[in-house]
Parts: sequence; C-alpha cells; structure tokens
Amino acid sequence: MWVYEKKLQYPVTVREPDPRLAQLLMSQYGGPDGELAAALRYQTQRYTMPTNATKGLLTDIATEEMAHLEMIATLIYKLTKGADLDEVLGSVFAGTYVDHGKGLFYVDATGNPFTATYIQCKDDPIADLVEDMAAEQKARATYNHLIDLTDDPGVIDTLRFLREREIVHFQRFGEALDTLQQQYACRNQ
Amino acid sequence: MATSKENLMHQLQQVGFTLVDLGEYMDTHPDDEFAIRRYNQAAEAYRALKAEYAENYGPLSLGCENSSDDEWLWATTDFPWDM
Repeated sequence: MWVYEKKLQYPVTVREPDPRLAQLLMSQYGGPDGELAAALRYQTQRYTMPTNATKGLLTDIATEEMAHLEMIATLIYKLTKGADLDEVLGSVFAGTYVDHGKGLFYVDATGNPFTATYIQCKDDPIADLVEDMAAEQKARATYNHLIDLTDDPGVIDTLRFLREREIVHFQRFGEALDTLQQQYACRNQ
Repeated sequence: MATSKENLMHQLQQVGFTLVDLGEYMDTHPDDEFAIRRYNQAAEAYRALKAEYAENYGPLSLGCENSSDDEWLWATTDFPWDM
C-alpha cells in the first residue's frame, strides 16, 4: 500500500500567474514523457522483475515519480489560480480552460489526452530497464525545453530539481541493468 | 518557542530527500555501510521532525498523532498546493 504525506518533495513557488507556462508544463503531467507515465511504467513493470533489488528500485522510483507528479500539478495550479479570463483567452491555455476550467487533467502541452501507449511492460527485465533509461533521458530533455521557455526563477528552480532526478534515476536504472547482466552472464557460464 | 511551520517543513523536505535518494542508491549498492549508517541517522531525524510537526501543525500522514482531542486536524489543515 501507499501512505500519503502532506508535503511536497521539494518547494514549489511561482512569481505570478502564467497560464501559457501552465499549459506547456502539462507535458510533464499527462504527456508522453511525463511524471504520470513514469510512475505508471515503473509501478507496473516491478511485478515481473527477477530480483528484490530491482523490485525495490522500481517501487522506490515509481513512488518518487508520484511526488514529482504532485509538484508539477502544484506548479500548474499556482500558475493558473490567479489568472484572469483575459490572460486565459490570450494564451495557449484557453482550449484546456474550455474543457477543464482550471481543473488538472492528464493532457500534454497541446491537449492530447494521456494514453497507456506511452509506456511498455515486456516481462523482460533487460527490455524494461532499457526502456526506463530512455524514458529518463526523454524526461530530462523535456525539462531542458521547459527551462528554455520560462524566466520565472521559482519555476526554473523546481524544474532544475526535477531534471536532476531524471539524471539520477537514469544512473540507478543503468546500475540495475549492469548487475542483472552480470548475474545472467554468470548463470550462462 | 516552537520552530516555525515553514522551517520545520523545510527540514522535513531536506531529511526526507536524504531518505529517498539514499534508498534508491542502496537498491543498487546494498553493501555500502556508510550509506546504511547515514540512512539510519536520517530515519531517526525524520521520525523526530514528523512528530514535532504533527504536535504543532497537524499530522503529516496517517499514523501521526492527532494533537487535538476534539478536532480532526487532517481535515482542517492546508494541503501542500495551497501552502
């Protein structure tokens, strides 16, 4: 089971309402390389992992991704909360406002709804871990693009933290892959 | 005087991050004795901070003590996106 803590993993502050930026950030909420995809991918791959170490790693990283999903949600919520309707109408957030108001919904930056086709589970630990490594790099690249598109120092600070975590998780998945490959090599000798 | 809510939350975020990051690290480095010692120190600090926060500002999670006898503080204290 899971236990919720009433706390963000890392502080989230924004300078002022910015519905345009909120819409762009939705890519990391319900987009192809976003935090929901990450959490669900690792969470469902863990059941058929061959060792307790890899089950543990996928559980722990999936759980952390849920905390990142909450941070992205908090960014979007704070960037839209005080925005008046003129600001909404003049931004790329207008279409999302029509369908969801200021409610959080799992779409990407251009409004495409989340789909399970963003993720995979192959019951093959090598294939799954290599997918996970690629996913972390794609998420890192997305954070780079988002950082390029804002000058809000609070948002940038949060995005830099999240980008750093993608790099760390890539490292951890790579170590898990190396360990499994060594174990398989020993078994095949 | 009690530590401020913001200060305590900040400490919880710092120590909580230590637990998450070290936990993932030890999933791939299970024999690192230094990391295990550091994890156990952080786990103890986290328990103390969580209890102090619950005592003064309401429960952080189910399992924390409710410091009021007549008010369910989970339902009356802010959620993180409103803090």
